[in-house]
Amino acid sequence: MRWHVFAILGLIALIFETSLIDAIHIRDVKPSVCAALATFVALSAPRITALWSCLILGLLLDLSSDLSLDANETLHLIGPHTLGYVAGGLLVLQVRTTVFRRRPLAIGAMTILFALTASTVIVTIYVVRSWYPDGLPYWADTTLLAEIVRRFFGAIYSGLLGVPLGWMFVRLMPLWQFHSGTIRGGGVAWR
Amino acid sequence: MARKIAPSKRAFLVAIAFIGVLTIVPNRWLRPWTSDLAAVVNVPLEPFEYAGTKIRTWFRPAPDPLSVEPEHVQRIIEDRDEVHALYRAAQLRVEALEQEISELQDAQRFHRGGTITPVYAHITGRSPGRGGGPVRLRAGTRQGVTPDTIAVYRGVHLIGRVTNDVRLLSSRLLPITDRAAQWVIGIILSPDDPTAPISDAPRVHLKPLGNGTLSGEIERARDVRPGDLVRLADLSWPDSAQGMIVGYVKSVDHQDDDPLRDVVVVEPRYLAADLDAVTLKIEQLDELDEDGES
Repeated sequence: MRWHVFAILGLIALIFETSLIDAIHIRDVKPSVCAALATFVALSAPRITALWSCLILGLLLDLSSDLSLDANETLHLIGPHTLGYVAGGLLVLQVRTTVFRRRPLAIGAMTILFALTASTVIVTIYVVRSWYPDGLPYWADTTLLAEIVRRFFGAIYSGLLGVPLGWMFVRLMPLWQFHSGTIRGGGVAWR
Repeated sequence: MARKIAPSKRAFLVAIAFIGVLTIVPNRWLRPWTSDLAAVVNVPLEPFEYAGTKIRTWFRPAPDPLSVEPEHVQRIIEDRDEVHALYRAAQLRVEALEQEISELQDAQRFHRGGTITPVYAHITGRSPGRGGGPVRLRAGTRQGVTPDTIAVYRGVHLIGRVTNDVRLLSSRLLPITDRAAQWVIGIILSPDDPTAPISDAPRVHLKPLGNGTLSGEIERARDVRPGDLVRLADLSWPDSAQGMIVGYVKSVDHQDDDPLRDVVVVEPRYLAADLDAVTLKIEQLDELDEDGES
């Protein structure tokens, strides 16, 4: 995989995630462009490359997320999105042999699974950290249930957005130059 | 024979283990350095995020009832609202001064005068995946921004205040609707009579709920109705914030377990998440001489 292509698209996705995406929110439910990109890379790239890509995207999201410690201070918590995206990437890697990886609908569907998995990990980490002595509310919504519901619909919305984005990523496939790990008998085997 | 792990895979496992440790360490271990690390990522992206925010607000502007009015009418309404806010701020200051006199304190040492320098600050970024939360402003110490500087919209609508994270060219704003924001004390007034005395107006301690509203309890005997105006009357906020509009009463609900008190839900007209810029009110206190006079 060409890392500079991933870097450019990853930064564009991050900019979308922190500014433009608010334009298409529906009652605070927002899709995730980074999830769609991470899903596409997890479907197409060699295993370890896909996992590194998910880790980097998740880390960038963690560094872009402000959590309010109190009225005066904010915190950048490293880990929730990073581990969530890696978990999502692992799930996609396990099931990618069963889908048509270059079909936009498949990319959209896998984006839903990716986002649901990532959100599960993120919310779990938030819940565990809320048990700490400071007991801070790491989730944005009024209750944990509201946060879970919002993230569930956010995953669905991400999947819907993943269809046109997947179509665009597939069109850019020649730029990515994904390569598999093994070559058998002159052909290229996907793992 | 032991199976060898490829170097790239080994590096990935080490990275995951390190991040796993960071995920569970206490906040005080992360606070000193993660903000600086985040700045390395966010500062180069701010111009692009600012452009993205401008496009977003063009595509989906913040709900603003005044925007349908002609521009000269908007200015008149803003001027009127500002005069009302100044009037209320003066009333609150008089009330505070009267309380201090009644407690036998020296009125001259209670001088809180000063001038306000407004600074127009663009919102350059916000936390992804969250409906609210702190936002980054493109104004910092170079423009005179300090912690606790308040941010308003259209002159009188209180949006939030700046956190301790203030840098040379950027700062972070915590909206009043964020769950981490502290309680605020508001005074509930009828929008129909802007000059009504405030001495009998009900006061309410408002707690942000995290969904863009704040709530508090008042005595049921108080005649509070949806649509009533709530202004800030909290001495823990800077002088420049007194009298600013916190929001409007959205609902007044009875409580079965406390029949003598109602729950008031207040909704700000403008939220930081919908805006692309705010006005920061930079307080410049007059320098006092040895006698305590300016």
